[in-house]
Amino acid sequence: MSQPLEQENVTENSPDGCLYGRTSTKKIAFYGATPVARTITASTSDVSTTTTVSLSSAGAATSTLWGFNSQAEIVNFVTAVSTMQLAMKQLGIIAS
Amino acid sequence: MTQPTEYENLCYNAPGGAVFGATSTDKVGFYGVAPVARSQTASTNTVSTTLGINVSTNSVTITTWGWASQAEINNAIGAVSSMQAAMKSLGLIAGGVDPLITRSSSPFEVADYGGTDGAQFGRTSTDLISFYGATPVARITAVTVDISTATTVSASTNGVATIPWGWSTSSEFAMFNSAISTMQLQMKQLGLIA
Repeated sequence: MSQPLEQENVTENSPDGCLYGRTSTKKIAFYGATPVARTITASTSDVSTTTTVSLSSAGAATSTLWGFNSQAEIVNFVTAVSTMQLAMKQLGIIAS
Repeated sequence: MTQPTEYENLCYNAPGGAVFGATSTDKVGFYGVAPVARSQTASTNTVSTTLGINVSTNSVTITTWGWASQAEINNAIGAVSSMQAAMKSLGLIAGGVDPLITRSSSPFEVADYGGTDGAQFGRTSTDLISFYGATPVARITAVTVDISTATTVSASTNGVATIPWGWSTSSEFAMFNSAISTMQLQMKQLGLIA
């Protein structure tokens, strides 16, 4: 996009990019929140390979419910969303 | 809020807001990870209109709540997966590659100046900011309920020999989808995902 003159740009077009926060323990924030270091929560398992299943395909009932194939998968999913939600709230990216 | 003098602020109150990374191909990073261009992952469908369904409404008396169609659950998984990958690669959550960057070896520009109390990008929740050349926006005002305590249940535990896992109540399912939808919308508006 063309950069409107009334918008300031924080970066200076360094070819290798720009960092905000030099290390994981530096404190940063957005929208006036109190700066924090990166969330300590352990990395969550990737959810991109999650498999799903329909109750009707399991053969026991005529229904249209879709859910997760195992407790481990739904727990991974909940943890992934919860971790992102916590991080985005702490950083001020969404309201808390 | 009162601005503590020990916080540095990266922007200077331009009326149109502040952008971190002028285009989607500029590289940006947080917390010391190697800067990356915006994720090339195709836009995920919005999940704000996702419908939940209770199996018991389909003549089986169990309490599992889940998605009404395969397309909806795939949308939700796609949305979460895209946000997770973007936040890891950007360094906003753990799991990305953290090179040890020192002042002498860093080829990147660094947008904070080492203040011990941290740095802010945007002074208040109504300041306009963005990334990767997106039009700057204020923070979304919606507040989502914490979902870390949501309980889950398998249909098989309700006396039906099936295996789908879902949520125990409709309210838990609803707040879960609300959380995903809000995060997805704000990350799209900020330009952090496509």
